[in-house]
Amino acid sequence: VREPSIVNPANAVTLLRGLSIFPLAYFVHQDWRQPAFAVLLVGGFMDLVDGWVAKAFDCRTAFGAVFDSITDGILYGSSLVVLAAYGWAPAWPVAVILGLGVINAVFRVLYSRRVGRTVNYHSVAMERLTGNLAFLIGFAIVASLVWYYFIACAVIMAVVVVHDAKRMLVDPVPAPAPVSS
Amino acid sequence: MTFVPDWVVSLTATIIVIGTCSSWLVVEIVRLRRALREPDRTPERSDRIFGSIISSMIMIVGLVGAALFNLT
Repeated sequence: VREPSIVNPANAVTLLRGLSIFPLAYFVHQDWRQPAFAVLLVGGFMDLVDGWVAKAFDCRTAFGAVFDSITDGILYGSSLVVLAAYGWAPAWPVAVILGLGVINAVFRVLYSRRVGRTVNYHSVAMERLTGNLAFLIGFAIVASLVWYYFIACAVIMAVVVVHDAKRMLVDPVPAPAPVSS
Repeated sequence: MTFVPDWVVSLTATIIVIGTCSSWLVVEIVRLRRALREPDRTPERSDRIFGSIISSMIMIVGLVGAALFNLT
C-alpha cells in the first residue's frame, strides 16, 4: 500500500493553522482583542477541519499526526508567550506552564532512551490538557477570569507531569512489539 | 478595534465554554465508567482512567469559571 505524500491538503490546513500565530501576534500588538479572538476561533475550527480533510482525501500519514502535534505545541506555546509579553496573560503562570511543558518533553526523551527506540509516549491526560490550552488563550484574549484559569491550568498540569514522570521514568517499559516474518 | 459590542464576545465565549465543557464532561464520565468496568488492569486502562479524571477536572474548572464570570 502506497503511503500518501506529506504534501497533501490536510497538512496544508495544519500549516495554515500554525501560521495563524502571525496575525494573532499582530492583533495582540495592536491591542485589538476582537480580531485576535476571531483568529483563535478560526484556528480552533481549522484544527477540526484538518482531521476531516485527512479522512475525506484519504491522506492520513504518520508525519501528519506528528506535524499536527508539533504545530499545536508551537502555536499554543508561542501564543502564550506573546500574550504574557503584552500583559494579556499573567507571566508567572505562563512560565510555569511552559516550564512544565519543557520538563515533560525532556522526560519523553528519557523514556525513549529507556525503551531503546524512537517511541512517542502516549498520555491521555496530557492530550486533554494540550487541547485545554486553546481555551486558556481564549480566556486571556477576552480578559475573562484570566488568573483563575491560568493558575488552575498550571496546578492541573503539575499533577499530570508528576504522574507521567512516574510512568515514564519508574514504571516498567512495555515489551517491544513482535516482528512478523 | 471593536467590530461588535463587547457583550457579544462575552456571550460567544460563554456559549462556547458552557457548550463544550458540559458535553465533554458527560463524554468523560461515560469513558471513565467504561474504563472502570474493564476487568484487565493494564497501564493503558490506568492511563485512560487518569486522563478522564483530569479531563473532567478541566471541564469543571471551565464551568465554574463561566458561572463566576456571569454571576458575579
